[in-house]
Amino acid sequence: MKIIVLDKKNKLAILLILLLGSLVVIFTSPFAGSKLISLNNIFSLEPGSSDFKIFWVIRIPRVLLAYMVGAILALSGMVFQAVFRNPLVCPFTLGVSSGASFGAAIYIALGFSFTLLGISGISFFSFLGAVFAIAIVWYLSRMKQGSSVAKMLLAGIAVSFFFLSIIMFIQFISGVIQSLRISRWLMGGIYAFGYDTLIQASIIAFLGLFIIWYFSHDLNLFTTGEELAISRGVDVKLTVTILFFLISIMIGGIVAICGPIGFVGIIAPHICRLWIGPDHRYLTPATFLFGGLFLALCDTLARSLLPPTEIPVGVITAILGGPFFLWLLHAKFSDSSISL
Amino acid sequence: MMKKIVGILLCLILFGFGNLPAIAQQSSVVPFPKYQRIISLAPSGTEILFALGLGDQVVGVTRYCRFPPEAQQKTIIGTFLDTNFELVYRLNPDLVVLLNTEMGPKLKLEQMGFNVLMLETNKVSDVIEAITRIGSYCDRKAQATEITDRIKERIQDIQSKTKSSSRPRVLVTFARTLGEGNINNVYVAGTKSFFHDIITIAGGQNAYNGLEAIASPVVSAEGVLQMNPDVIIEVLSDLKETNLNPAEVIKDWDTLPELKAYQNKQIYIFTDDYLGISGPRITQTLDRIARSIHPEIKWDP
Repeated sequence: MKIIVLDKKNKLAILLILLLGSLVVIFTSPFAGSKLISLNNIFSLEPGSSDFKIFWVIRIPRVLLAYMVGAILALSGMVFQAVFRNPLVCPFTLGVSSGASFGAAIYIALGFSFTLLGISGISFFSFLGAVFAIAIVWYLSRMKQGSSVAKMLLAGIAVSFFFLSIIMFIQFISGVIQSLRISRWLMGGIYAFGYDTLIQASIIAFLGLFIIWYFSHDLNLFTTGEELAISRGVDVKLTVTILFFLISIMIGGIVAICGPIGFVGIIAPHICRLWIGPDHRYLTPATFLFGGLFLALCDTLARSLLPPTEIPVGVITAILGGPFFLWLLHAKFSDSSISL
Repeated sequence: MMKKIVGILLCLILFGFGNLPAIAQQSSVVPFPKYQRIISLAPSGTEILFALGLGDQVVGVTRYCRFPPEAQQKTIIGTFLDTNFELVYRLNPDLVVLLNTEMGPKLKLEQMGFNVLMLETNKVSDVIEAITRIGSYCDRKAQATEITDRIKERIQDIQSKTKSSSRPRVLVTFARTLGEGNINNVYVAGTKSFFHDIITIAGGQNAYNGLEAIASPVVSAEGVLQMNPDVIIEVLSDLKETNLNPAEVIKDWDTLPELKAYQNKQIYIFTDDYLGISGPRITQTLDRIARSIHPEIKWDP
């Protein structure tokens, strides 16, 4: 199969398309939902009416939140895949999501209910769970000398399974309603009421984008091999540790807000890599834009397809993204375009 | 070769899978006058058995069977999800009562050679039917008629009182994000649920009218605002298991003052056990819901 090598101009054009696509999704999505709200109406809505609240307080922050969450998930997947040189790694491979879910399950099962400094109790607990999991993985992979990268990956997978079994046990012993709430939480979902969570997520997203962009040259070296990276003067252990911690904590924050949303983190970077190539200077902004656009679109479908109920967004991401990715893989696959 | 495979598949479909629904519909009980060792795998079944005066014959119940209080003195065999079959076997029941949603235990119990009586309790009429059935199987026909007459009487009374009233749109919820100052992940009564029937009999209409295929619909604040119900009834039987009380939980609705139910001050939070159980205490449920939907009607105290 022929590999098309894109020049700089083409890559910038792709970024421009993604940016325009993002703007279209962000500006049109708030009109869709359980009921269409027309453009003529939004400025004549009365502040006390349901439509006013739905449009300004629920839908707009929700669309933006979905965009931010998708962007972060995709970016983290991209970084982890590069650092571990493994196409199957996603933001959740290292146990962050199972740790967060463990925290949430404990919160629900023990029947707690509180808010702390504007952060809901369940978010607080799941963030603690995520940090706990990160600490365990990091500690395990450092205990003895050796290749920290492979060890970290294995430790992460083991920690994931461990937490998931505990969650199953918690579900097993809790009542029907609690059990239902835990499984619902595990499906993930975007929800906004007002702009507080959006602000939290945006801070995380832009901070993440900045940090990852800063490391994009190192990431390029990583993908060609650990030895080469070392020979070019990259402190592999330090870089891996910094990226692992920062990104895990970012993901912990995101999972705490909206539960584990699958698929975006593993597939979005691959789609972008197939499209724009493996150079992280272009891949990073492309992944950010595509991840955000994709999740915002999926969430809009999730809340519009079966009104007044909402389909868990994770269902839509995989149903929509799966076939698209397979098509792309079939049409454009070559070893050099998929390898990291 | 291909023909053989197709043939085998056809046989499987015709005899194997084809049989499953047929098994599901039949109950394997042969009418037999007196059962002496009964196990109930559902709270509603337990309540019916005790109401029919068969309490002494009950030997095993589930962890959720909390009414009447005597029921918890019986051997507890787990729940329908984690039934301790060894314990069931040792109790050696001559009748096991369970709901028709509990297919897993049913097949196992039949393999063990026990008599199984399946009850359907999705509607009020199913509950009446279930009481009648247990009554006739267990030689308690007179008691069964007495109870079902009382239920029918109550239904007639409510229907005649609400006949000339309007039919408010009622949203019944079972679980949601609690005490965090927002409304999200709201599990509402679907169009095929027990409460759909209760609302209709009590003189209201279900505010949720989405797809029938979704057994337990979940909506967010947007969905609730969209439905904009006249009355909201929250059946939160598990609230006691949290450190919250109804007064705190009802405050979550302050975030949606646009709702008609909020403006009408018709948001109710009920935590009583009987509301979720489709047994003889269904009269209390009907009464409670009807009074909440129609506060304007003069009800007997």
